[in-house]
Amino acid sequence: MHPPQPEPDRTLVLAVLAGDTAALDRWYRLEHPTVWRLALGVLTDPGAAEDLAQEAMLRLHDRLDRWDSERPYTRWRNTVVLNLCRDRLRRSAARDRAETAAAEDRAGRESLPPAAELEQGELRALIGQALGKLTPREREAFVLRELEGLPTKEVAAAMEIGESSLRSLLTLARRRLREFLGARLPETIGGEHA
Amino acid sequence: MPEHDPFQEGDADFDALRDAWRSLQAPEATPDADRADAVTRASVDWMREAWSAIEPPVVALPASLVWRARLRTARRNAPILAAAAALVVLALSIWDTSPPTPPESERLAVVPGDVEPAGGAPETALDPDRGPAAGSGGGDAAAPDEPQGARDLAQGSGAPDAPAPTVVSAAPEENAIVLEHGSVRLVLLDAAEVTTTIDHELELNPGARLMTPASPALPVSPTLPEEGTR
Repeated sequence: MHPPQPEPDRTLVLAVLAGDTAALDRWYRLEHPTVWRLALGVLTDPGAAEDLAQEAMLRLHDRLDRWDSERPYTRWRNTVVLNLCRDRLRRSAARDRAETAAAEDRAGRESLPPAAELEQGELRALIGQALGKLTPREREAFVLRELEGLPTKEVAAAMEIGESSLRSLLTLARRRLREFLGARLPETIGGEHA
Repeated sequence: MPEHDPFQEGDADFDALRDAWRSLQAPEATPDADRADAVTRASVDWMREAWSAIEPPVVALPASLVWRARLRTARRNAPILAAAAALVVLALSIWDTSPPTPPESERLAVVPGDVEPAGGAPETALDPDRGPAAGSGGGDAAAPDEPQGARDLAQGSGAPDAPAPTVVSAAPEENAIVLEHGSVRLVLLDAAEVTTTIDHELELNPGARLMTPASPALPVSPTLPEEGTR
């Protein structure tokens, strides 16, 4: 689970809205990593994630004055980013299918080293491949709940589904990941499957 | 082409299908979802570890976003700026049309409109090179609450484009000289102080003119009135 990032507070958002450039810079640095990770988690492609993160930051900034400050900021932000990701996925569905097939061909059967030993490029590619085994909805659920560590209630609200549906999606996501990663995990990690 | 055909006799009734649809339940969560086997747990743990290890690309605040922010601020402030601009324009137009206020000086008595305009009289240029007359300290007709514009006029430091005040000698035999600036007339009552003031004005505004309304032959001089007389 990714360590929780400091969230922009109401004061910072209001300063951004007031046109404070320093606050805008701080808000951008605070938000971009989280937005990028969400995009990577849902799109699974590092390049596309970087592209979408930039677009999402612009969109978030443009719509910042629509955020109801009585509601959690993270939920609003996640909803905006997820919607953008879904749009992107819809537009490039055919391309994604082709890339998924190619990725399956590339995926080797060698065992996975611990994540810390991998280079960033390899790491991103592996995460992308693993998450690419999930459906988009499963990815959203898995990334927000398991990887970003958001509460179930908040994830369900961001995805506009019930909590029981969310749990089902998470179960399916874990199962698919097990199929993809389980056989490649070293014995010390995988334990019983070896 | 209509989007929906009207229901017709013999069409299938979808009530049963609708009821079945509404009765659909979301699949129940797998009972052991949270008690997954070791491989599943290991897979999820590996993903979490990988997720923590990835580093987002280092980015700087894009210039386009800064400009968007400025544009939005400008859009939001546009009504205020427009109102402020309108006020400035209004103030400038009032400034242009309003009569300048009389000068503040301990040596000047302000009597607006006290003297009739000197229409049609020839003008005699004052010689700025003439030496100033020795001023005295008399004539303390103070005007304590006069605004800055009056002080500027008296000190020759008014608006840069403002015309130089015109000096009108309406009744020199009464030791009174009138300074005219726009529609404001300043009657200088103390003759000695008048000469001092005129000389000072000439120093600051060489273009100032002394007008003699009564007669072109009327001798005009900064030292015209006798010193110390009124």
